[in-house]
Amino acid sequence: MTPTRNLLSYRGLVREIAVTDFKLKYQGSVLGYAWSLGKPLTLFAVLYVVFTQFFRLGSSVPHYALYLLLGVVLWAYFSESTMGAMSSIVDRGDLIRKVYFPRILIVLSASVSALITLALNLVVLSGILLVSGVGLSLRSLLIVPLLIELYLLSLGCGFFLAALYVRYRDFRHIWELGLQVAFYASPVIYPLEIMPRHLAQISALNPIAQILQDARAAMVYHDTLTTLGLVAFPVSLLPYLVPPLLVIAGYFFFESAAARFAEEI
Amino acid sequence: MSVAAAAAVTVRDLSKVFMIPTERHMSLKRHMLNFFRSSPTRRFEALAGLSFEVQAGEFFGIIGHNGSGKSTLLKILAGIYQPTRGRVDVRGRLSPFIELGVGFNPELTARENVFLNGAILGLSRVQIASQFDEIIGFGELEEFVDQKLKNFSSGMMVRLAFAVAVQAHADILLIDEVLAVGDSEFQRKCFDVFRRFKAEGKTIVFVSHDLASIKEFSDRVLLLDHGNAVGTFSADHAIARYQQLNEERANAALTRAGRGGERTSGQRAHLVRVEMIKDGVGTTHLVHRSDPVRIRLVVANPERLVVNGGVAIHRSDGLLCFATNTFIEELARPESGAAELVLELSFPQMLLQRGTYRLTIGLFGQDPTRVYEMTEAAFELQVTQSDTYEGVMFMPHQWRAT
Repeated sequence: MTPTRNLLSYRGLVREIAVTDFKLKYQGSVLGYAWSLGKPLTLFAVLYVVFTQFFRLGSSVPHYALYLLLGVVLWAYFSESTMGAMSSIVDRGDLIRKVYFPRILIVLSASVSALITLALNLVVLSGILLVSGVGLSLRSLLIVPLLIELYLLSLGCGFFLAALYVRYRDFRHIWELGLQVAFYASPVIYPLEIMPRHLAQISALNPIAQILQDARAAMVYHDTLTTLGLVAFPVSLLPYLVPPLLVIAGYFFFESAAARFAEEI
Repeated sequence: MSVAAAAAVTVRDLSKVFMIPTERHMSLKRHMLNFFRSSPTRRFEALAGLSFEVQAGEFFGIIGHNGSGKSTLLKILAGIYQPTRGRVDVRGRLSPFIELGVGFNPELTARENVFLNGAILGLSRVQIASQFDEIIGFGELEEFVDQKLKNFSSGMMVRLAFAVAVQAHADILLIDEVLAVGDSEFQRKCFDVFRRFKAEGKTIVFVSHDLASIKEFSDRVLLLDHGNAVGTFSADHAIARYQQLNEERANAALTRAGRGGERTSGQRAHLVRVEMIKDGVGTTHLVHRSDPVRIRLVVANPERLVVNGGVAIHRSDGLLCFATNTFIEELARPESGAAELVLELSFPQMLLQRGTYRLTIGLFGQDPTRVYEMTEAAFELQVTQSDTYEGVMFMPHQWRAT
């Protein structure tokens, strides 16, 4: 009964909303898009000083600065993307109450909008890699499937969060807390190498840890400890299975809740 | 059988029930306990088993009092709400929006908004680009294409919104009160478009309080009353039935003491009663035209907040005759020390003509968006007159022959 149209015919809408969001985010600020680079770079600078000068965490891995920077950039994407997806439906309440289109497009737009920032950050990161002498190689292309995995992980979380947030506004706080815990539970700022081996093996089953370590192995330092290197074969596949399964489950969860959004917002 | 096949929209036994939360503020503890259970709700049946058909190529009007279910019906047709029971079958492509300019962003230029709004209505970038000049031309906004929308007047915004909306390639258009805005010349332009659509065999479902345009354009009119379909009639018949229903409601309201009607009450300041006072007579529901009259709002204000009051006077057909509030008048409103406060609005002369009028009363805080209470039909009054002047209001006047 709903005005059904092919999802593909709405791809223009995803792009329009994502680009508009990105534009509006920096509207009226003098430095504009530079802020989207400035924020993770500043976090990186602070962490770098703290962890190389005071705690000397990085001495156990080569190129710790790059290792840290890549971790911060990928983490920033996961955090921005999931937070953005969570509030996307509620923020677009006026749209949802007044026009019909598949609601899932709003969540997709939010995730795409965060991708724009990630892409800009990765360009800067690549520049730094070249300047630092680590350079880029064919191997660096392995980052692409890892980014897809990270996108799926964020999107899967985003589907659940967006639908839950419509009904329970508590999820903003729950997820902020969850992100903080996950930030320290994942090897974003510290190298996995400093953990006792049995703890590192557990930590490596966390999909975020797996993505970060694989990305570092691809772009920064070949011999970074990865999930495949730490955990025995069939079990080591677990973190790779999480993102696609989460997207599928999240999709069905979201769709089952979407019909009621217009009334609940 | 052949009639059913030609129907653009078929609605069968359509019901919509809303579960309205009755408890607004839950304690944190109760909230935790109830977290995965639903909070207490009240059942409200907005639509109670409607059945009707809209024929292809028809200009189909929907009328009914406030809260009769018109907007809910339109939202279900658009796919925004899901029906609780019953079914809606649509043949052809239906416009998915019920309001113009959805998603317009004041920080974007007219050009950017056209693309965004067009995308929301399901148009591709290529389609919008090819019709862009036509859109801007129709809205008469050639000089303002690259200006931000926040600098637009509301009239310009409506023109732009309408211009985009007519490009949405729908066979069935849903229109909710669009024509309440825009100047009369633009309204005529809108109706020209509707006529063109009609000539092209498009179907238009049109909800309005404006009985004149309903009468002028509708082939048939569905009359709603408290979520029930009174029936589908010719425009004249529907309007007559509607006015008759209003009279009945008015009479019922007049006999009820004080006030009745629909009331959405907040937790804070709320209306205790509304009175109309005629000097030398006392409280009344009846006023003679040209007589002085006072309207008194008695407000309970247990939290001693800043309270602004507003009064809107609607004629029984829904026409807003006059509205005023203490906020526009910049009346000094110190925080009331008393738990009860009285706002009095006096009219030195009742200028409205013979008829039944309803008062909508609003109570709000320092910030006008902070609404404590909004009560429709809080009070009903009758105006009588002994002369035979016609029209909405009496205009003090003089004739002179030279």
